[in-house]
Amino acid sequence: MRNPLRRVLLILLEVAVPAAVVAAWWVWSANADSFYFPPLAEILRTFADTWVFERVGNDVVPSLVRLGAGFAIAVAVSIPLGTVLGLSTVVRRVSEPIIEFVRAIPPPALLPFAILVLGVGDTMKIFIIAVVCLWPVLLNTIDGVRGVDHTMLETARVYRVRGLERLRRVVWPAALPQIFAGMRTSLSLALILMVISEMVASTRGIGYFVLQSQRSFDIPEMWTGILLLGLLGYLLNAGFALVERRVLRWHRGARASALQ
Amino acid sequence: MTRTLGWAQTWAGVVVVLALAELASRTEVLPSRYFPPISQTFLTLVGQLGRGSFWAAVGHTLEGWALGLGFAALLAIPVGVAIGTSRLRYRACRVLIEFLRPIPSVALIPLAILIYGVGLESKVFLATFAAFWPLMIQTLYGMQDIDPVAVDTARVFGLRRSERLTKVVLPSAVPYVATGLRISSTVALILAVTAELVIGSAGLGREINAARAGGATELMYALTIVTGLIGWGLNGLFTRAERRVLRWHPSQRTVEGGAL
Amino acid sequence: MTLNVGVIPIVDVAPLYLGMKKGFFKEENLTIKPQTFAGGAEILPAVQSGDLQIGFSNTTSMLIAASKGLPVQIIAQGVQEGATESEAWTRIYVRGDSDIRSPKDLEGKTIGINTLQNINDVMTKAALEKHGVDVSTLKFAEVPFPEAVQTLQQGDVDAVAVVEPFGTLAEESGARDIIPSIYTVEPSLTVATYFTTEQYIAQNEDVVERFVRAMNKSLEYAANNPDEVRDTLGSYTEIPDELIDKVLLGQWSTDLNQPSIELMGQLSKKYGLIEEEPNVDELIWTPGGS
Repeated sequence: MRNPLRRVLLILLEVAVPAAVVAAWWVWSANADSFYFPPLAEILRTFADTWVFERVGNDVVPSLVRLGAGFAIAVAVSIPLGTVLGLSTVVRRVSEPIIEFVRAIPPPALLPFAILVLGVGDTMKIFIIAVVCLWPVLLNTIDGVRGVDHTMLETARVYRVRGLERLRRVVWPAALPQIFAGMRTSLSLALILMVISEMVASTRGIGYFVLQSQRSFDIPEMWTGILLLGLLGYLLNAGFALVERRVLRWHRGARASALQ
Repeated sequence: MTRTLGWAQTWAGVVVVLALAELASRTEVLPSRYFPPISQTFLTLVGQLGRGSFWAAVGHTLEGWALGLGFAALLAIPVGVAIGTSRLRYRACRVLIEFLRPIPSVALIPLAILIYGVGLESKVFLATFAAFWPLMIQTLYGMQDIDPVAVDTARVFGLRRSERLTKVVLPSAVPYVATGLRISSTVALILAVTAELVIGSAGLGREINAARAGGATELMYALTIVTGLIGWGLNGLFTRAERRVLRWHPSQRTVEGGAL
Repeated sequence: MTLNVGVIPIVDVAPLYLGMKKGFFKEENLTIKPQTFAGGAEILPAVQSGDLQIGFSNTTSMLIAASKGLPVQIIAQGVQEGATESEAWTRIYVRGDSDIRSPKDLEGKTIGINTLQNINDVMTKAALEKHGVDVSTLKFAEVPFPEAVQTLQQGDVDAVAVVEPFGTLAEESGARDIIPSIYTVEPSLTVATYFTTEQYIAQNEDVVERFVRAMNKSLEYAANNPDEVRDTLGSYTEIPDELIDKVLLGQWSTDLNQPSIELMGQLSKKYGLIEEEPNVDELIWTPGGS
C-alpha cells in the first residue's frame, strides 16, 4: 500500500481510464452522423460558448442555491426524525406506512400538489428536492440507530449516560457512517430532483436549460447541460467526501475495509 | 394481544393523516376544487378497482418496476462487490462513476426514446439506470465498513481471500445491500411511473397524465395514491424479507426486542 | 399495415380517434395505434427513431425543428384556431376580481404560459402587441396547463394563457377572459399538424398518402359532427362528463392554411425562437410532389 510506485500507478490509472473513455466517445461520435449524438468536439465547443461564464450567474447559481436549500432541509429534518424513529418502535410503527407511502409517490406526480400548496416559485422547487432527499438519510438514520450495538447501549445505561448525552456519545457516533452513506445518496438525488423540479414552472436553472434545449432541438446544448450536471455532481461529491473523511476520521481507523 | 396493538399503532397514523387531509379540503384550507376531499378521491379510487384498464395499468407499472429493479440488482451488486474489493478497480472506475451517477435519468429521456423507443424498453432503461446507483453505492459502502476484528479473526483461522469475501465481507455488507435494495426499489418505481408520465408507455403514469390533462383532479389524485400504495406494499415485502434474512443482525434484533 | 401515431391526450386529436371509430383508416388498410405523450417535445425523437411513424406536434415546434435541420415533413392538418371570436379556444384569463380590464393593463404583470419559447409564448406576445402592449414589460412564468387556473386563483400569476378544457374550467372558477390570444393574431391559424420524416416518406410514400386521405376524411367528419366528437372525447381523455358537454372544440379542416404557418415562422423569428425562417414550401409534403 505504501509503495510509492504503486501510488503513482494508481493515480495514472485513475486518469487513464476516463481519458480512454473520452477518446472512444470522441472517435465514435465524430463518425456517428446522428442528430442526437453530435461529435464530442462540437459539444465541447458549445460548452465553452455556453457556460464560460455567461450563464453561470443566470442558471448555475439559482440551481445550486435551490439544491443546497433542499438538501440542507432534508438533512436537518431527517436526522432528528430518524433518531426518534430508530429509537422508538411505537413511533416507527405509527409513521412507517405514511413515510413509505409518500416516499413511493413519483416526484413528477407530486408537482400538482406542490404547486397547489406552495405556488410556482422557488419554495415549491426546494420542497420537491427536500421531500425526495429526505428518504435515504431518514432510512439510513433509522437503520443506523437501530443497528447500534446492544452491549454499547447497555454499557451506557449502566454508566447512567442518558438523554441527549446518550445520543451524542453513543447513538449518533455509531450510526454516523450509515447516516453519511444516506447523505451521499441524497446529494446525488438532490441534483436529479433539481433537474426535475426545474422542468416545470421554471424560467432559469440548469434543468430548465436542458429541457429548453431539448424542446428547441439544440442537441449539442442539451449535451453540454448533461455534461455540466455530471461535472457538478462530481465536484459536489468530492467536496462531500472531504467533509465525510474529516468527520469520520476516527471511524475509518476503527473499521477495516475490504479494500485492504 | 401485542399483535393487535402493533396493528392499531400502524393504522393510527394513517387515520390521523387521512382525517387531516379531509379536513383541509372540507374547510377550504386547501381549495377543494383543486384538492378534492380525500373521501371523494377514495370513492373515485374504488370506482377504478372494477375496471380492467386500471388493473392493466397497474400490471404495466409493476412490470417496469420489476424489470428495472431486477436488472439494476443484477448489475449493481456484482459491480459494487468487484469495485469494492480491489483498490485497483476502485481507482480505475471512481471518476467515471462519480461523473455518471449524478446525471438524472430524466435528462436522458430523449436519448432513451431515440435508442429504445417509447415502449417497455425505455421505461426499463430509465428505471435501471436510476436504480443502479444507490444500490451500487450502498454495496460499495458495505464493502468498506467491516469489523476489523472479524477480518483478523478470519485471517487467524487461515481463511483464504475468497473465503474471507464470502464468509466475512459479504455477510457484513448485507444490511447495506438490503437498505440499498429498498431505496432502489422505490427509485425504480418512481422512474417507471415517470417514464409513463412523460413518454406515455402503458401504465399508471400515463393514466395520471391523462387525468391531469383532462382536468379530472379526483382521478389524478386517486391514481397518485395508488402509486404510493404500491410503493408502500412493495416496501412492506422488502422489510419482511429483510427481517427474515437478517435475523442475526443487531438492527433486526432491536425490532424483535422492541416488539416484546 | 399498423401505424404508431404519437399524440397528446387532448381535445385537438379527437378526429384521429373518431376516424378510427368510423373505420376511415381501415378503409385504407391502416391500423392506427395511438401512443399518448405528456408533451410534444418527446414525440419528435420517437418519430425520428422510427418507433412511431407519425406524430402530432404544434406548428411552432415543427418550424423550430426544421430550422435546426431536422428532416421533418408536415403531412396533414392537426387543429386550427376558431374562425370566429366565440369559437376561439386559446384565451388569456385574469382573476374575476382583478383590476386588469384591458390588454394594456397587463403591462408589467406576470403571465403564466405552459411552455416558454414556444407557440403559446409567441402567440401571447403577438396578440398583446397588436393591442399596443409593450411586451418588453411583460413577465412570464412557466405554469403547466392543468395547474394554470389554481395558480391564477392563488395569485402567483396575474394572468394565464390557456387552451381547452382549461379555458372552460377557468370560466367556471370565476376567471374573466381578456382576449382570445391566437385568434387576435390570426383566425383559423394552424396550431398543430401531423408529421413524419423525409426518410419515412421516401420509403413508404403510398402509406403516407393513405394516412393523409383517411386523416382528411376524419377531419372533415369531425368538423361536421361535433356531437360524435364529444362522444369520442370520453374514450381517450379523462375529461369529466359534465365538462365534455361544455368544452370548446377546435376547428378542423383539410386545408393546411399555409399562410398562417408562414406567419408563425415570421413571428417565431421576431421573438427569437429561431434564427432563420424555414422554407414552409419545403416543410409541407405534397403527394406526388418533390
